[in-house]
Amino acid sequence: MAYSKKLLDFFKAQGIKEGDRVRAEKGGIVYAGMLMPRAAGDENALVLKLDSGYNVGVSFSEKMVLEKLPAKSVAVKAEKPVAAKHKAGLPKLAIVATGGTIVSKVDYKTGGVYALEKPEELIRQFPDLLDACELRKISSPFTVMSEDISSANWIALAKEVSKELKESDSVIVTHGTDALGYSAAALSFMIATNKTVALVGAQRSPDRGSFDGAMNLVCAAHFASKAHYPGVAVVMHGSSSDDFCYAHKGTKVRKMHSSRRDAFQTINGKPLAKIYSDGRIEEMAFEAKKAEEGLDAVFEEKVSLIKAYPNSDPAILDWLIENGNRGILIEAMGLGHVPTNGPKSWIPHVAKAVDKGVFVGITTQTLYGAVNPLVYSNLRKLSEAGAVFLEDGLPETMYVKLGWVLAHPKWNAKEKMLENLRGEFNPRLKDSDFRLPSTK
Amino acid sequence: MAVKIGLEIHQRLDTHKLHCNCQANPSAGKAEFVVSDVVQRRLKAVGGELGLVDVAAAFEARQKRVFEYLIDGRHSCLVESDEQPPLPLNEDALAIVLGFAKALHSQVVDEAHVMRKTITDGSAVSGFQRTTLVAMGGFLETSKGKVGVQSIAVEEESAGIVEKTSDKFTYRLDRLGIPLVEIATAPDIKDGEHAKEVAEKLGGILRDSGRVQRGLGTIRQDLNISVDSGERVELKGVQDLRMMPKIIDVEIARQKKDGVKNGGETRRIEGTESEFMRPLAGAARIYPETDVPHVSITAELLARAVVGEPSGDKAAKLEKLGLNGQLAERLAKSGEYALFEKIHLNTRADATVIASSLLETLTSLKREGIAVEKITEGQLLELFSLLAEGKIVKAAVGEITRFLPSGKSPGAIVKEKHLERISGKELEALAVSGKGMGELMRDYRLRVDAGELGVKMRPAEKR
Repeated sequence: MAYSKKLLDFFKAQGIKEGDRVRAEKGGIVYAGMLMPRAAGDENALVLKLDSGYNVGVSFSEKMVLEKLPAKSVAVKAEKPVAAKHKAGLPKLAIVATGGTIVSKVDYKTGGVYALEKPEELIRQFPDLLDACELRKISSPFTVMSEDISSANWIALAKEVSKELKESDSVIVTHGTDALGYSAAALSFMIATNKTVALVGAQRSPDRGSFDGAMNLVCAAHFASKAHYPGVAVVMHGSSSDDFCYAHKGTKVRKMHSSRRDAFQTINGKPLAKIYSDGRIEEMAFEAKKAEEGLDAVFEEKVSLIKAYPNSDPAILDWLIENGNRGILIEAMGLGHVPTNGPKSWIPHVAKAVDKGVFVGITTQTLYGAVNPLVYSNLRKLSEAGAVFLEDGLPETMYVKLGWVLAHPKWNAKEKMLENLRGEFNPRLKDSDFRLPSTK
Repeated sequence: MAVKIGLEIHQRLDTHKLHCNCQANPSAGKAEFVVSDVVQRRLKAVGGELGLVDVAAAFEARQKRVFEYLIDGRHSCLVESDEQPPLPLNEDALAIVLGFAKALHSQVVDEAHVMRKTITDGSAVSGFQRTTLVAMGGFLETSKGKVGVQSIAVEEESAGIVEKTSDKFTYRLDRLGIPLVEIATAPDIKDGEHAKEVAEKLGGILRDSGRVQRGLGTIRQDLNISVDSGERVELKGVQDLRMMPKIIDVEIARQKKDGVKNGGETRRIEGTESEFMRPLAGAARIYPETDVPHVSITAELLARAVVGEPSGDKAAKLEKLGLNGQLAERLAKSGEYALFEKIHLNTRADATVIASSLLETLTSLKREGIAVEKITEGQLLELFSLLAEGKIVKAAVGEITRFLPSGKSPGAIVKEKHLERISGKELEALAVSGKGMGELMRDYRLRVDAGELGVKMRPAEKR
């Protein structure tokens, strides 16, 4: 989105460009201010930033008088931030940035978002990082919006993180929040490590005073540097307040709200730890298991995640098979139900898929609780058709795991999908693992 | 000596919040604020649109405070808590403001841009107040000539402060986001008395719309004063218009003595003096709100502008309701017309009683030093409902009004002061008690309607 050609030609004829101070006179009213770029709205209206700071749109008219004014430093009384120095003896940390807003700054002139590329820049923005770690390096293998992330990105990211883990004590991955849970699962399976990889994001943009990402990043740095959690975790606000963060296991975390700070929650379990922004870490709920370390960054593209719901058309399964899918993950109802009787039964289509060697996995759209192939006869029919019931695995985590498992031709897919490799299953769902929101 | 005086008036509008669907009118509601949630936040200093940190913002951010927000779920939602993106600008609020622009001969912008004004004292949870410039230019006719209008904007009201300690500020979120119109005059004001007149005239125009909130704190006046082309001082919070001339004189004397620091100051009025709050905020603290679309001010929108009725039409309407000519004319020209209409429409109480209460009772109570500005719309609505339902008599209205500033409901005052209307058998008993009309009315003036008592008493007993 920009100005119309008519307007751009008019600017050119007047020798005016964006960023110039101009005087526009129209209908007896004089506007003086900086000509701003247009990001949205009426392409035939000038956007002027008045000296008061307000922006206004002034519709173009042939009778309008527009002239360039001598540049005037806008009455901006600004302070320069102060640089800070590393403290000795703290764990080394690397940040891998993937394009979330958390380590970026917004350029309102272009509407563009620029990544902070140097550790110094980041430290200037988040000086509290210096209490947690020695920030060694910021790298960025790619920059995409979180919703555009692909399996190729996951592979590149896993490789980058794995490389940085060799040089650092831990790694933080900054990531847009919408697909952050998926990427956490992907890294969980692709990287086996005894060091900590912490993914972190922000639900508010960094241009506002109420930016939540600063605390998330600082808490992630404390967690990554001090908790010795072996594996991949997500560190985000633990409540709506700026008081503490939770670290969540990368295979059990899900974005449960579209906009709140505490959107990320551990499903079917407890968070790994509670981290305060001053560095205190409480309620550690994990074992420091020694894993065999390694990188296994592969992904089978031909895997799909679909939802079964009343009146849904099972022909979607046929389409997926015809289009070469090797794995289909179904988000079923309740304990694992799909429409079973009547003309829209999914059972024959599932059986057909399994016959053709396609892996069909069952998870639940309730998210909480586990699927069960035995309780009702309809569930048994689905199980007998060859679908694999994937315990309390989250649909998104199971989708990512399936893509990763099927990329290993020698593995038995059913066996691997049911093996608890990265804590993706909770074999003991406790009474306190599910809480309904209060009714207030 | 050259003194420049400008006025900024802020008035809450009577519509839902500016960028969400919540309704709140903390100055009118009878209900108590019930805390359903509490959140605590910290704010960091951020660069504005031009990538620079505003001095005023940096000044506050250095304090490293915790901000605590008390939430009553009936009056705020995730938008106020800064947990959900804002909705587009409330077009009803815009229509009300377009009406003010029309009344002040102001030029409406072609396309309104919602901006964020950095606020770091915690009174905006997001760290900024959303504000939109709607019109520029125009004038107000006064006894000392035209006073120019610089700008008319619609913005979000801030959160109300509950408690301040050295390391924590506590606010409640019901008030946050209520639409406010901000009208800034040019520095054309001649002197203190003139400033008072301008404030009163602007207040009248606002109330004529019938779409502004009423009650303590729903309107606020700030003054901009500079002396001999010096830096500007913004004086915040003139509580009482009668104090305005004195406040202005004190500030002029202060500036001549102390000068103005920091390239401009924002000061809070305390009595007639003022104390330093922060350096004057610069343009660096205003940057675009990228979460909502710009609003093209179309002919359709302009046609929706809320226009106050001319006072002649109002007076004629009032006479039809039974008001005498003089009272009708006074009410039509006063700032209380909209409130009268609302009360009359909602309660159907006697029009003359409502009118004389608003114009006469309140004024005379104010002269007695009673804080009538604390009386809320909600209280008045309840009071006149009691009258219309026959639960009290006309004569009790003034007496009850006297106690309204305490915040108690009219019903509670009636009970406490035993002001229930005497009627039916009780009244008949009084009528045949053998006491004369004069004596009865002396004893029961506030509880008995004289006309009603007269009907019950036989002519012979009237002495």
